[in-house]
Amino acid sequence: MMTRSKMHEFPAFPAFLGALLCCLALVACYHGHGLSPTGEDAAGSSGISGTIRFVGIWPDSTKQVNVIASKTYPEGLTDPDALYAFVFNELGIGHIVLSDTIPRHSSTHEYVFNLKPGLYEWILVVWFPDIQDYYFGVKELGAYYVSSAEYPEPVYIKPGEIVENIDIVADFDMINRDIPFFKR
Amino acid sequence: MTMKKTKNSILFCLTVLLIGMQSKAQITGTVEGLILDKETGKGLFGVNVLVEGTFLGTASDASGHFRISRLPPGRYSLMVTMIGYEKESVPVSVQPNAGLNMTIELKPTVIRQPNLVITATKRRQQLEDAPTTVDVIQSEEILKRNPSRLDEVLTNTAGLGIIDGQVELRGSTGFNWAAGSRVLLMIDGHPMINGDTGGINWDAIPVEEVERVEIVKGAGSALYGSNAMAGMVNIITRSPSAKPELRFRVHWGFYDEPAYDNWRWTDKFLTYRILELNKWDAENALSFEGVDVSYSQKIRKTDMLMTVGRKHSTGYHQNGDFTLWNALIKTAFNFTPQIKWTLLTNFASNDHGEFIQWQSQSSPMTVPEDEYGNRLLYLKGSILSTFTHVLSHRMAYKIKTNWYRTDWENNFPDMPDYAVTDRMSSEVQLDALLRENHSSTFGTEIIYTRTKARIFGNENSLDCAAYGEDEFKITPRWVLTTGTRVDYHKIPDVSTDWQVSPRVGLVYHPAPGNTCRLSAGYGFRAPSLAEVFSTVNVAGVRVVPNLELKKAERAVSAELGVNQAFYIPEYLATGFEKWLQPKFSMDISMFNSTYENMIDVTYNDSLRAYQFMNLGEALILGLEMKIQASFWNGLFGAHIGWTALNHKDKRTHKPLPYRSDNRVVAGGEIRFRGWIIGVDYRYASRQKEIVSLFENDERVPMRVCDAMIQYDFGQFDISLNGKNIFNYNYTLRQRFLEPIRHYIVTLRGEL
Repeated sequence: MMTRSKMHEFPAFPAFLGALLCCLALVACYHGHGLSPTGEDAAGSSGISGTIRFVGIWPDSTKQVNVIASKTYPEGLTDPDALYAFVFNELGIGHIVLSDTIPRHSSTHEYVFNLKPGLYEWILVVWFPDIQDYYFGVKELGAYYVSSAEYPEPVYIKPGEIVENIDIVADFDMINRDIPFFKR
Repeated sequence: MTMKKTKNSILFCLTVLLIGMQSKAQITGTVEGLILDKETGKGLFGVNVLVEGTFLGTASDASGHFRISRLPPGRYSLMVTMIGYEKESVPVSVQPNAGLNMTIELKPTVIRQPNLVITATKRRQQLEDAPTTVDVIQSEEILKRNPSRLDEVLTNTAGLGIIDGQVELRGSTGFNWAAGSRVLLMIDGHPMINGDTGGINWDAIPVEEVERVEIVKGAGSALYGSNAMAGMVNIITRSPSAKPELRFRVHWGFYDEPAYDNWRWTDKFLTYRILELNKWDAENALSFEGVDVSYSQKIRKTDMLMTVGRKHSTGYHQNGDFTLWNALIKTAFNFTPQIKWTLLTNFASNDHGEFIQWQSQSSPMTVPEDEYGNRLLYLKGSILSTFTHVLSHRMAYKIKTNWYRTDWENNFPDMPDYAVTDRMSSEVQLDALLRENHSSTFGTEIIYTRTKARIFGNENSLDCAAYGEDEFKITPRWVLTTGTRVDYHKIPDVSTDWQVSPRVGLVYHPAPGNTCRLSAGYGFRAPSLAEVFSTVNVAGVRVVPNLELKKAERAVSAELGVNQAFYIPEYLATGFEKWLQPKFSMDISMFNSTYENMIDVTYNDSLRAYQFMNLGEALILGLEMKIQASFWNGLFGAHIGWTALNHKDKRTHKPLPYRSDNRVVAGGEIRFRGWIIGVDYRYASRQKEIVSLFENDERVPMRVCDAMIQYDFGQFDISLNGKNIFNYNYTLRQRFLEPIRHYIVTLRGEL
């Protein structure tokens, strides 16, 4: 409860002057609305970008080629044909994100891939055959490595950041290689 | 055997000391009297009466009567103080076994500054004797603004900003994602820093029961240890009243429409419903309401205060709702006038949505889809015990024990988490008046913290400390304060650390109403358990533990300040001055702080994650100016405070993150016939730097204006508050839009 201040005989002029000063102060405080809408896309603030360099000839049997960002790297998986199972499972729980399809017959392709911030252990380029259940025929064309490292390089995307220079070499010869898909 | 002998010797010495004091105090006199309002002639309740140069004192009862006994014969000066009245010094002469009866009249004043503060030196002292800047916010200032949390009011203090609950005092803290505070928060002198994060929980503080808040700016580690490296905020709770008293507050409020149509994420904005949809159902609007009820009574020698409150809000953004319950019981057992035990029990429960980041600047009141529905249940409980014993008019001791538990659990799909943390501390403080002009304070403190959490693991820490401070009045105009504290901090298997924090202060009163102060001291802050052990992966932000975070951060701070009160005595005033009746007080201070091993969150490239690290050195230089004025005998009052900072990280030569170079607080109010009309304005310049998250997001200065009108009916008052009345949109940390315009209607009463 407030302590009531001493009762004053109402002095009209000082009260008017005080009120005027308050109003002037209020007007002086007005500075527009500060932040305003920008039209920025909700998911467009973080991700990766780089260049994909294609080696070899695009097979006629190509359905599509995409970049995949996976939160986990299946180190213990050795069967190259098991890639489809991994992709399916991880897509289902949201641990894999598929980029837009890369234009056919590109020799190099500069890409920007919007992703949620976080750690991605495996960034790779995948090829899908032009068959009915094309997901079953998914093959790796290449992944993001640094120098001569044996395993792909994880990428951490900070909130609000586009990590640049995630360059990948995509080799169409990989489609026919019968080696564990994760080995370089 | 040797240990036993030593123990016995100590016990013997203490017994002799205590018996000596008691026997010396046997031949005494008594001073009693009545304190009246000089203008109304009515008895004044709650006036502080202190015997200068002793630890004896009391407060007047409901009829204005006071009594101080056990005063050794001699000449004394009674210092009689109350907020809103001019301080009086009354000379008295006490005779052996005799009583002295007197009547003291206090003259009302329009400058509502308190005369006594307790935080700067851990003992009661006159505000003008404090060696560092002390700002005081009175209960009336808090209540008239009708905040839902206390930190909303603190932002009207010069040089103080709040970012997501963290106190930024003169550029000290910035924003550390709720981990670690460089300002120590206390309730009645008990630390209320979260044991796990080292941060502050404002919703654990019952706003209605705050008597005043003392904000001490400058290094306080010489008395308070870790966290007090840049200052202290001490919340003094209300004392139970002498007569039975029932108080209540009921409030309801609503959020206005956002400034832009495409920010309107729901049709539940009340003004939109009424004006555009023609729907008058306030029930479904974005609104908030609350009820607080408190009762206080004195039963024989026991004072009791109980309060319970509930607040609910839908929030103005997604995940913005909360339901807060709090309860407080404060009991004071006055065994004798010299022996008092105060027990304060406080509990709060807050079930609230969690807004980590907005979806985009085009939709700043909604969260990303996968964060929708994120909630957190936070329980807090504390028991604070203070035992005070005035052994003689020259010696007193205090034993403070407290337990503070925080218990939270979230339902985040990407990282469900919980933490239960206990922080227990005990402190013994001895105050001694060695001579009339020489007093000392000594103490020891022990703090034990343990946490059981998924996010931090099961960890604990131990802090032990001893401190001493000496105040010497060289002449009536010069006061010298020197002190130091030694702290030991241990986190098992991680680090042990010793810190020594000396401080020196000098106060000079060249003329009445004029004070010059100079102080310098060391401050430190030990890393919190959260800073060492946090494992977080929320909304793409990965934070990993840093077991190499072993060093406390340290600061050397200094301040030079001048305070001057001006008023024109009636016999000197000209016609215009008599009409204007001006009164001013002005305070200017220059300060600097040099930090080393500063702990801050930063991105670690090799780990691809964020970590808390010792980052190196930083420098803060600043100037603060405050002016308070009143005219026409308090009819019109105004204040302005400006704080300018020059701050840089010495390693990167960049400004420190989340700091504003300039802060301005200003306000004015008109009071007449029970009406109060007031305006508050806060400005903080654009933060030049932030931690590297969403660095490219737009940042703007803070420019907020609040307005209020209140009418006092006597037993009741009713008020209307408009917050952020120009609907200014700004962020203080990344991707969180601060509250948009909202209105509150409040009814407060006292029976």
